[in-house]
Amino acid sequence: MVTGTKLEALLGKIRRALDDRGAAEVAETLFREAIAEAQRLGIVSAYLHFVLAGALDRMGKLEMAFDELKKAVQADPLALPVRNAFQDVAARLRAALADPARAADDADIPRIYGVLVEAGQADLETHLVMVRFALATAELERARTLAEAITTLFPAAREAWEVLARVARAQGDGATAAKADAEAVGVQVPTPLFGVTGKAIA
Amino acid sequence: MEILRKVQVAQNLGSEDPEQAELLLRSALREADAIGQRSPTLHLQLAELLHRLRKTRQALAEVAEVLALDPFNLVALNLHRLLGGRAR
Repeated sequence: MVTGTKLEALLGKIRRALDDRGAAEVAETLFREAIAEAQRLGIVSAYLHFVLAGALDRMGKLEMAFDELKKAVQADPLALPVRNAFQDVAARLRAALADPARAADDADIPRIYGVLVEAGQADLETHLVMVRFALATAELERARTLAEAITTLFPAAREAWEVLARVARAQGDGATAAKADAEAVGVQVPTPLFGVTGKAIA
Repeated sequence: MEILRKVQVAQNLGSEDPEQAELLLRSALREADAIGQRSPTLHLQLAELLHRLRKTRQALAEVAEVLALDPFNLVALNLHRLLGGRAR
């Protein structure tokens, strides 16, 4: 239960911060203050982490917003709005990582990749970006380990085999590159799971 | 997860069939309770629904649950005021 003048004053400020959608920086400070106060009281407020994430998102601090949403989901795993916001920000983080305008050796890549992997939100494209980064920075062992893992995770993905072929070629491993190329060709034409292939004749 | 599916369906039904939504939310809350999961958001969702159904006393009880779990939840505090609850 909320008691005490200080806390009520803090909640009053937060209320005003939420009403004033333009002042995200002010809101961030207030929400952080409230989170600290909640922690002091032994409370993890999914709500506060959620609204802080909203303020951070409005400021373009996507990774920080994601981090707050993780805390919110952890605090209240049954909160659908929080889960939806978490998925939304994760998707935007993935899109930002895989942005074609981003250089393959962009120094931000490992950090963003780590955030997504740690949250279980990395998809095929996310992993591919990291392999390309490792290739672009000549970390071939790391690239190879990741590329092989991706072909295990996504054996039906042509891009996974293609990137493994690239890495193997960079390592001077022509045999593995050729095998991976062959796998890539093999998955280019998907075999129907059911039905008979061929021309339909009435 | 079964509970989340119920919550999702309850949310979808909220305006079309609020009585069914209430049943689903109460069931979700019971299941959550059975696995030791206390969700302020789920209680708040039910409180808002009960408010729409004009079940004020029950809505207030749910808001009280939310505020016991998360006294910083301004949505719950606002609803508490709206429902005429005593100042917290």
